[in-house]
Order: sequence, then C-alpha cells, then structure tokens
Amino acid sequence: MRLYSDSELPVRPALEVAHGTTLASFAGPGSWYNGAERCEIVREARQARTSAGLQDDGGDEPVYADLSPVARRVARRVAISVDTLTRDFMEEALADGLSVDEYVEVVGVVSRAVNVDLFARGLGLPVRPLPLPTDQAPVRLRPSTACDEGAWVPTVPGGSRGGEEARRIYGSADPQAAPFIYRALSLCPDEAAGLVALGAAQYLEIKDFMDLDFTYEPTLSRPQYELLAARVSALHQCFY
Amino acid sequence: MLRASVEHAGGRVDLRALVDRKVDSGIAHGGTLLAFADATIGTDSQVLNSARDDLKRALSPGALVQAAAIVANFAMNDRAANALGIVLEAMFVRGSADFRQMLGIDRYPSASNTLRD
Repeated sequence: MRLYSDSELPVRPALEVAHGTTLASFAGPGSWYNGAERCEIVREARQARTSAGLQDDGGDEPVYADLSPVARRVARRVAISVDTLTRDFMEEALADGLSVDEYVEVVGVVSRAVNVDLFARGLGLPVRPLPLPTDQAPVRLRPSTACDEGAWVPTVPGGSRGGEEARRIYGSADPQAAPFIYRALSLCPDEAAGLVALGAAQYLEIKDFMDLDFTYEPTLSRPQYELLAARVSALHQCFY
Repeated sequence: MLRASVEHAGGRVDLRALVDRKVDSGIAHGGTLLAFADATIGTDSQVLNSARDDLKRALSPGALVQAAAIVANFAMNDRAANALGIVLEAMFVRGSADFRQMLGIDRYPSASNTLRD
C-alpha cells in the first residue's frame, strides 16, 4: 500500500519511496543501536514534539526498548530545540556517557524522523507508523576514513580521501558531490546516506544544485524553493 | 542560493523578508510561502490549516506538496548542521558576507562553527 494513500494531494512516488525507506531504516539495525532502540529514539522525539505542540500526534506507541537517559535527552533536544544545539550541549552528552558515534546516530535518526513527520504535518496528515523492529544487531563499525574535517565530530571526506565509504554514502567519487551537510552524519554511514537520499527526493540531487531553473514541481519555482529553505533555516538560527 | 536563483530569473529579492515578515520579499506569493513555512514549523494547528489552504489555492496542490517537502528537508538539515557543528563552505561564506551582518545571521550560535577567528 502507498505510504500516503490517505492523502488527496499529488505526492510524488519518489517521496513515497524515500519516506518508506526512511521509516524502514529506523526499524533495522544502525551503526550502534538496534532496530528497537532506534524506534525508541523516534518515539522519544515524537513524544517531545507532541508535548511541545510541534506536531499533533505521535509518540504514544508502547516503549520499544530501554535507552539511556542521556540518549533520550539528546533525542528530545534535537527534536524540539534546534537553535540551542551548541558544542557544550554535545560535550555534556559525551561526558554523561554517550559515545560520539552514538551521539551522531541519535542526531541522524531524530533529524530524519522529524523530516518525515513534518512533511505529513505540512500536508495535514497524521504521522506515519513505524514498522516492527527487526532483531538484527548493530554493525558497530566506524568508517576507516573518518577524520577531522572541522566539524565537532569526525566525518568521511568526499572524493578519493573518503575511499569506497565515500562513494557508497555520497553516490559519487567526485569530492564536489559531498558538501558538508552530506558529510555531517557520515560517522554513521547509513544515517548520512539516508539524509542524502531524502534531500535528493525532497529538494534536489547535488548534480542539479547549480541548475537554477531546476524544480520538481512546475508550479513552484526555484526562487520559491529557496525562499522556503532560507526561512526555515532562519527560524532555526542555522548558519549553514 | 535564494539571491542567486532570483537574479538568475531576472528578479530582485529583499532578503530582510527572511527575518521580518512585514517586508515583501519580492518573490511571487512570497508571503503565502513564508506563512506556510512558519506554520509548519510552529505550534498552532489552526494557523497551519489556513496557511495550507492559502498555499494550495494561490499556487496548486502540487506546490503545497513540494513546499512541505522543502520545509521538512531543511528542518532535517538544520538539526544535523547545528548538532554536529559543520562548517559552511568557503564559497558560500564569501558570497553571503554582505547580508549576513544585516540579517543578524553572524550572531547565530551556529555561526561560530564557521566564523572561528
């Protein structure tokens, strides 16, 4: 069944596929958390957003798994308070026992979950249910090419420096295909690849970035695209 | 990319509209789009219902879907960017210097990741 079959609006198939894949990814293993823990991260984020009035439903599912208090704290803050995500906040989380890899995974899961939930809210639809978690174990592997590129956390470079991992995450060996927003989550490669895939389906593919006539929807121009994007980033006080 | 895309289309944009809703951006249906972005991010469901109807009526049902996709995508990107302290690429730092100060963008907490010295 189509993910948005309850909507009368013309949701592009690429959006349905990308969002269905995203929801399924939460129920499967990540780099450091298993499917039940990842679903619990989403549940925590949804509960925080519903309590804050930022979405109308979600977070009332039964508890999927135990999760450390610090992981819950990070999930809630990333979900509801984008403009307060400082380096001190991250350092406090690490001091309280979260590894930097786990921190990145929580940020990735919450960021992508908010994306899918906010899309539904924008269309006036309830949040999409999560699939049942699988029982596969997390990969527990850090990418070998991850290094300090200037972010607070190690990232996988684009191009040859990133090796095969870069090609898999960014879909290309061209360093120009890996802007920093694509690299942000790359300490957890599947999270980064998920963000790239959502961006390609919802905004544009990187190859179309400099094509200033590009749009997925003929009745919404590229300047109108960019106005929406810039306003959201201003509301979130996001310099990037 | 906002200014570049508007200039490419032969128009002009007043970037103050990004931080002051009373300012006309100069982009067709800009007010309707900004109202939808604000309402989708915000907490008032009734305001969002109105903003959604306005956008659908002013542009199209397809534009409403695409607008929701853009808003949601940047809500994701902003979380990842702010939580992980990534750095803005040099070409965009250079190309935005003139309006960042005017709009207060250089004072965002996340600006310190890029403007380190």
